[in-house]
Amino acid sequence: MKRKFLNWSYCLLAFVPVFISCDKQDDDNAGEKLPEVAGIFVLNQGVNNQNDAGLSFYSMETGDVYTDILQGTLGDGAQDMIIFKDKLFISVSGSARILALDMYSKKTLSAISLTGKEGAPRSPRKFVSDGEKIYVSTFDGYVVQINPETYVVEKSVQVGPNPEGIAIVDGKIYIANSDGENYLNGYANGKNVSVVDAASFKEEKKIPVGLNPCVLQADVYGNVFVGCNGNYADIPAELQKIDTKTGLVTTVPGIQASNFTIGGDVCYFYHVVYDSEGTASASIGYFDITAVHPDPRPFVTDNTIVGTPYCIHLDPATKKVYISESNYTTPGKIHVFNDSGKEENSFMVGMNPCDIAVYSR
Amino acid sequence: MSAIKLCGQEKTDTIRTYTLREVNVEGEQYPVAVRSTSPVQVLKKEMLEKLNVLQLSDAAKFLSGVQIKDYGGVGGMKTISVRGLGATHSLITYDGLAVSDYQTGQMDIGRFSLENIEMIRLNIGESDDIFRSARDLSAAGALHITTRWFTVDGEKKRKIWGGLRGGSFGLFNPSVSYEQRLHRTFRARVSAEYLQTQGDYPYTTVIGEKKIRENADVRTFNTEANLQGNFNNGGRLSFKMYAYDSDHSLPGAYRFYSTSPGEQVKDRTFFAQGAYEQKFSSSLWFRSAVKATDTHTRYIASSAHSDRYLYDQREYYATATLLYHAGSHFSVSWANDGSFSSFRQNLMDKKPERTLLQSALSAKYQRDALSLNGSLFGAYAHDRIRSGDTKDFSDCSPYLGFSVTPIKNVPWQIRGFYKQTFRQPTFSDLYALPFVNKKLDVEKAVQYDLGMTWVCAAGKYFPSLSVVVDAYWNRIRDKIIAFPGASMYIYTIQNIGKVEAKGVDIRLNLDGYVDERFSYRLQASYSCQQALDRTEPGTAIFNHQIPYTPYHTSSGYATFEMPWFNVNYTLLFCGERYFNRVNLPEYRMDAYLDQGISLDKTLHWKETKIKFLAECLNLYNRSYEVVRSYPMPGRSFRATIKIVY
Repeated sequence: MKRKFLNWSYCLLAFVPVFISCDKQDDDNAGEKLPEVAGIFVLNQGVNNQNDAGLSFYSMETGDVYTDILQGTLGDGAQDMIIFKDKLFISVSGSARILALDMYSKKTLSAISLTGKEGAPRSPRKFVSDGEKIYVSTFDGYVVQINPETYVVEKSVQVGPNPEGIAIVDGKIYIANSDGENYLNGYANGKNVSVVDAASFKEEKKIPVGLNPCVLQADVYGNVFVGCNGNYADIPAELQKIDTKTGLVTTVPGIQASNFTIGGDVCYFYHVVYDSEGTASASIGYFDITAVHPDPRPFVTDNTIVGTPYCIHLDPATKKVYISESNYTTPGKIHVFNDSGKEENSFMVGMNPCDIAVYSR
Repeated sequence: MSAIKLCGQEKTDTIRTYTLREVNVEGEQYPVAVRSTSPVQVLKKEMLEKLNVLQLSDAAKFLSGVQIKDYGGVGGMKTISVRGLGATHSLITYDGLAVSDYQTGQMDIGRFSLENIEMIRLNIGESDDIFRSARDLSAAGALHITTRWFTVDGEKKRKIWGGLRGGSFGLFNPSVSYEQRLHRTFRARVSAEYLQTQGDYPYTTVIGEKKIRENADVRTFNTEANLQGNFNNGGRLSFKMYAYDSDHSLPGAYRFYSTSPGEQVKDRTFFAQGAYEQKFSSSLWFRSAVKATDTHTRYIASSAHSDRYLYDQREYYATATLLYHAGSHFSVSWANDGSFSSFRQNLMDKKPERTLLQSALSAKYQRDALSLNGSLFGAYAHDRIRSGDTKDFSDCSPYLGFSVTPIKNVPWQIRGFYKQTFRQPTFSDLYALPFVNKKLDVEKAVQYDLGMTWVCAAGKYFPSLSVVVDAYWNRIRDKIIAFPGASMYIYTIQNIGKVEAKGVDIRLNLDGYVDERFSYRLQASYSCQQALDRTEPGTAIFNHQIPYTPYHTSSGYATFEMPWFNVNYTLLFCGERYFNRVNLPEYRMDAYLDQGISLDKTLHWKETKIKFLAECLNLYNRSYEVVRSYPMPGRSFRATIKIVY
């Protein structure tokens, strides 16, 4: 019974923005009509050391695509975005800063420079929010808490080496410690997920997982899914699931994911493999996360060819799946699929699109 | 030196001889590159001292048809690429023998100082002097560095010279050399140089942030010992030992709004080379040389792990050439080179070793108005690694060049050449990844060139005037390209590129003479180049200009000699280019103009010569980048004193 209630409350939450921003006459149809996507932000990572990260914007109202609404001033190595109320926060890893923009006017509200030990620049990686604060993993091994109203870095706590993916379940923050910088030693210390209590901001424990965990996302049932990359050689990628109530870690059988996203009961993922000559091939699929033995199915149903995927995003409000592709050489492309795997739209963006944020009205 | 034909009606009763800027003077026997079948450019010591340059890379920027990729500051890496072919298609030689890097295939020419250099010569295509080693033919273009001897037969027995240079951002550069004639046959020279700079120059990023370059300090030391002997039987022996030790910080690319970590490099090179040349008769000549090189490089990245990357390279090399003159018009040479190189890196457990055999057969026909030059170069490389399979590489390169002076007594020459070269995958291409890419093949380059030169003396006031124009068409196939793969550290390397380049290089030189007290020298060069990606039609980069290749470049210098002092002015212009393979406006880099000016004065006191030089570089303090996010210094100053006794 508890589970059903959670399902319902999640659905209701999804409609909240619709209630708030719709006109009065739409109230009658609110339950039946899916919200309209007003705009799609695409974060372009750029190429290392070239300071060419950018923010693309696709306006659903006009159909126009703007390759970089920040006109080349974003910085080096953009990583992640998060929408918090009507603000868009962007982490720029190489430039050690977090940029806050007004989502509608696209004006810059604040730029937070992150510094760590002895004033050294601190590279922000991935965001998560509990609706009050924003939490960011940083490459030098910390999680910081940012106040999204005052733009002040309020707290920080040390976690494992090179934390990446971050999620929140019941007031506990889960962080994947990837040890991604330790390539020479096969990511030896990238083997656990740190758990930090959001209230006290202390690390409570480290949960052992597979090798080189990167992507982390929570589902509605209180599970945290961890994508472990392995070492790209003899140790393959695997997907694991942490039950946050029991602390038990299980491997999701038969799934290898370079990246994934979860909405409701469905997990959408892709896996990129490189052969001995370095040619990449990718598979995009989905599976039911509640199944004991997941039966992954190919996602794309209309023969759309997606090059090497670079990020995947699911908009819970409309159930559309956004997949970006990049070949590191030429500007990337965004594919917009509906939930039956048919491509509805595609557009070109900047170099290496690494995150997508969609806002609806 | 040769007498120059007059192009005007004026006659003089003495024949003046002038050293031409582009004459390839290699000893007394080989005059007149007016007849050269491929472009040759020479910068001699006197000119190098007037170009406001510190390192070899600075001087190379004044050669037309080359791009120098300069990562900024004294310690930043600098590589040379000829006509858009890429740095891996260039060969660098130091006193006749190649300096090579098997790991990257590129040489950092910033490490060569100009202190003891007599001449640098750039050959695009091939030199017409066929008395050379096989390796000289292996690359599309070659930059030859020749060091300087002071003492001449019959003159003073010894010479000592020293210099002290200081300048902005903590530049301190003393050097000293000593040369002595031993007996009648031999002469010996020892030199040492130390260079230190803090490199903390101010710069502006492309979004207008003003910063100071950090972690750019350099400390290098190099020393050389040379011995040369000329024997009565026509034999010539030379021997050299060279050591280079450098410790410097690499600041890395700048990051908007932040600082970059940088890394430390410690670099040590030692080589010994010996060469012997013997003229058995007027028609049969022989030369051979051996060389052993040892290089240690250590990179310390400033990351949490303080990752250390250690590279050790060792090479043993030998060459032998036989030249036969059949009559006075025709000569043929056969050169054979062999080398064994080994490479060790702490990341790779493969420990590759390469045995490289190179052979070249060349022939030259020269008569009156016509010169024909042809050669066939072949190479075979056999690699061995500690565990695993490797591939052998072999290929051959033909060269054909002609030069003709169509109208008798008119110093107008037409020339052209065709050359095919290849470059083998480097150790880094093949062995840096966990698995060996067996499919990797050589990268091939084909060059066609057609040009003309006009060299003459235009009367008493213009003792030398020359115009050189070359049009070229190059094609690269199977270009070896690396792009990111599974992770940031794992790259995919494939023969996947095709490039087609077309361009024109124009050079004008003028020597002017007002009277015994005033004279001047001007050079202007302009190049335009289109180098397009032709890999796969329909891709976003097809027919786009390849990165870091400007459409327009220009360089020039003007020196004025006056009784009180001399003034030297230099100019470098580089047009717009792109830093990414796709030519979008957001990837376009602005054009830049870098001008310099200097004053020099030489005093004589008894047998001593003292020279003073004061330079101002980047006169207008232009903020620019050659490589995206690697800033170049703004305005700076240098002062030098040189004493020769």
